[in-house]
Amino acid sequence: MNRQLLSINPELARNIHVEMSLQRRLIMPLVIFLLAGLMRTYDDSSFSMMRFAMQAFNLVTIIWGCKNISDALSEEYNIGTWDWQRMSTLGPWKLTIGKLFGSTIYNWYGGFFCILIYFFSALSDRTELLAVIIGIFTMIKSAVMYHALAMMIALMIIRNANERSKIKSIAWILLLPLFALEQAGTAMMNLGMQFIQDGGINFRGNPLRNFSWYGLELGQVSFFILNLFFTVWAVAGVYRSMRVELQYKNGLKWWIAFMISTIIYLIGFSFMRFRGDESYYNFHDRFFALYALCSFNFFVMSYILIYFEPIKVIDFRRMGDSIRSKNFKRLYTQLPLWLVTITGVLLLALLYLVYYCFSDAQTSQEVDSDISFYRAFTMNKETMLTNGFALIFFALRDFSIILCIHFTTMRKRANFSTILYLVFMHLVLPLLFKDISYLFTTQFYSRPDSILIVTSIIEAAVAVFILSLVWREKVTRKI
Amino acid sequence: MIQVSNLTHEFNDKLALDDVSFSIATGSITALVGPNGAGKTTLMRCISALQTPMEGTILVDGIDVVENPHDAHLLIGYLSDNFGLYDSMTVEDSLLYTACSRISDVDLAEKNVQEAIALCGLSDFYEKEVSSLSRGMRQRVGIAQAIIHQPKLLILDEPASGLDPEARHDLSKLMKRLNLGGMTILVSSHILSELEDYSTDMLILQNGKIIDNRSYSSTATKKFTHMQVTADNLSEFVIHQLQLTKGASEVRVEHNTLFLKLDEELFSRKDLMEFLVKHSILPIDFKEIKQNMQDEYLKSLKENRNHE
Repeated sequence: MNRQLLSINPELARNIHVEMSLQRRLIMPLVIFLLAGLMRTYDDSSFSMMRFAMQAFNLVTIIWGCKNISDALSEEYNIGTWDWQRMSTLGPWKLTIGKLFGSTIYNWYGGFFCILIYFFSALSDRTELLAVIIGIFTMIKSAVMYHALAMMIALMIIRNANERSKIKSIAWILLLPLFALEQAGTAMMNLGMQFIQDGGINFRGNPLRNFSWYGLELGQVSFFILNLFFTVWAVAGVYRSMRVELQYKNGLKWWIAFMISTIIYLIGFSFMRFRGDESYYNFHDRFFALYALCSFNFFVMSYILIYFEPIKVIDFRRMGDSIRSKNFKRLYTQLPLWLVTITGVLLLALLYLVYYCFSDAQTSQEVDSDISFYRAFTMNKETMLTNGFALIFFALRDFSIILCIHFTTMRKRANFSTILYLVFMHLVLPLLFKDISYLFTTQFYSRPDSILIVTSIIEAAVAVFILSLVWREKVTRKI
Repeated sequence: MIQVSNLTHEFNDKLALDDVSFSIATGSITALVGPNGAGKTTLMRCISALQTPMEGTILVDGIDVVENPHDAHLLIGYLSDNFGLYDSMTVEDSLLYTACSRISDVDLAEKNVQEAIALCGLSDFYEKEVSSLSRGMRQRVGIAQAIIHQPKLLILDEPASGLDPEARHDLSKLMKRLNLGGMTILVSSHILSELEDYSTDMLILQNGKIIDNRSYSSTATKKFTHMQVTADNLSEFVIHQLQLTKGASEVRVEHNTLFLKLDEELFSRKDLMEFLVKHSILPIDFKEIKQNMQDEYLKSLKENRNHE
C-alpha cells in the first residue's frame, strides 16, 4: 500500500490497493480499446466514436460504479468491517472521499480511457475545444453525482438494517430509471433547444447557449458551473449520511440549506427568455411552473425519505422527551427529514397562496406555446393550488397511517404493509371507484376542488387522531 | 473500568436489555455469559458505542459512551463474532490499514502493527492473504486489529466459536498475555468451558437482565468459599452446630465428607479449622471446592427461573 496515501486517506489507499491489481489494470484498457476497434470497423465516423465513448463511460463508470459502491458498502456491513470503521478515527470526510472515489477507482480508470477516446474523436470531428472539455467535465460531474446517490442509498439501507442481519446491495438499481430519465430528458431538451435555437446539438458536447438564470446570460462555462449544483449537493448528502453513521450530532441545517438552495436554483430559470422575446411566456406561469415543480420534488422526496429513514419507536420517544423538557436544541438533531420536508412543502404552498392572492399572478396570459410543460401550468392555477393542498393533506394522512403501521408492526412487515397501503390508496381504489377517486388520492385533471380539499382534510384529521391514540399507547408508554 | 447504570434497550421490538446495572473492575477478564438471545451482543455493542441505548448510562474509564462515542472509541477495541476482516488483503496490509485508520502517524502505526503481530503470534503469517488463513488464525488477526491502537478495554464477542481445541488453547494464552499487559477484557460466549481458563469474573445475562455478577479473581477478595472436609468422626452434633454457625451455610454430609459454604467475612477457613479442632475432628482432607463456571452458571439460571 502507498504509505503517503495511507497517511492522507487510509480508506482511499486501501481501495486503490485492492481494486487496482496489475491484472485488472491491463484488462480494462484492453477491453475498451478492443470494443472501440470493433465499433470502428462498423462505423468509422468520429461522431460515432464519440457516442461510443460516452455510452462506454456511462456503462463502465456510472452504472458499474454505482453497483461497485453499493456492493462495497453492503459488503463492509455484512463482513463486520463497518463496525470498526465506525470506531476508527477516520472522520466523515475521509470516509466519504475514500469510499466515493476509492470503491469506484477501477471504474474511473476505465472512464479515463473512454474520455481519451471521446477527446480525440471530438477533436477529429472538429468540435470546439471548449465544448469538448465541458463535455468531459459534464460526464465526470454526472458520474460523481450518481456514485454519491448510490452511496447515499447504501448508507440509508445500512442505517435501516437490523444489526444482526445481512443486507443486499441491489437498491442502486433504483437509480437506473433516474439515469434513463435524465438521458431521455437531455435528448429531448437537445431536440427542443435545437428547435428553438435552430442549431447547437448538445450531445456533441456543445452546451446550450443563451441560457439565462435570474436574467444573467450564461455562457458554456458558467452554465456548467451552475449545473454542478446537484452534484455538489449529492456529495454533501453523502457526507451528512456518513456523519449520521459515525454518530456525529446532525442538525437540519444541511437539509434546510439544500431545500432553500434548490428553490433558489430552480426559480432562477423563471427569468429565462427564449429568443429574447419576453412575451413568449408569462413570467408568473414560468415562476409557478418551477415553483410547483420544486414543491412536487420535495413532496416526492418526503415519501422516499419516510422509507429510507428508520422509523423507530425509540426515536419518537426521544423526540417526545425533548419536547416535554423543552430541549429544542436536542429536538433539532432528532427531527426526521421526511417531516421537515413535508413541512417545507406545506410552507411553500402557503407562501404561494399568499403570492397568488396579492400579486397579479391570477391574470395569466394566454399563450400558444410549443413547450407543453409550461403550457400545462398556465391552464388553471386554482385547480393546481387546490390539488396541491389536497396532496399535502393526503400526505399527512399517509404519513400518519405509515407511522401507525410502524409503531404496531415488526419493521420488515411494516414496510411491506405500508407499500401495500399506498398502492391501494393511490392506485387500486381510485381505479376501482373512478367516480369517487377524490376520496383516496389527488388527480390533477378532474375533481371538484371543494370536495377534494374537504375530503383530504377530513381523512388527514381522522388519520392524525388514530396516530395520536397509537402514539399514546406505544410511544408515550414507559417501558 | 466499566460502569453501567439502568441500561435499557429494545431490539426487534423486544426488550433486549432491561434496566441493566453492573460494573467491571480495571484489569479483569470478565466472561459475559448467557443463553442465545439473552442480550449479550446488544450489551457489548452498547458498551462499544456502536449502538445507542434507549435509556441508561455507560461509563468507560470515566467517559460517557452515549454522549461521547468518539472519545470512547479511542479506549475500546471491539471484535465482532465474524472478526471483520478484508479477505483480499494480506495480514500485514490489513493491520497497517487498521492502524492508520486509528493512528494518524504512519511510523507509529507501523510500530503498533509489529507489536500486534508479535503479541498475537502472527509473525509467520503476516505476508499471507487473510482468505487463506484458518479460522483460528483469522481470529488472531481480528484480535490484532482490535488491539492495534492499544486500547484500555477489549471487547470480544464470541471469539472462540468455531475454533478447534488448539486454537481455543491459544486464545486462552493470548487473553492472559493481553491481560498481563494491563488490558481489561470483556468476552462473551455461551460455551463456558472455554472461558473458565482465563476469566476472573463472570457476568450472567438472561432475558436482558443481569442475574449474577461474581468474581473468581482472587481468593482474598472473594466473599464466599465452598469447602469440602473429609473426616472419620463427623457427628450429628457437630453438623448441627455448624448449621447454627453464622457464616456457614449449605451444610450437608455425604458418607464421611462434609460440604459447606463459608461467608469468609463471618466464618473463615481458619475459623472452620479451629471449630473442627475444638470438636476433636481431625480432617483427612480439607480443601476448597473450586467453583465450576458451568455449574455456577446453570445454578444461577435455575435460581433465576425459580425466582421468576
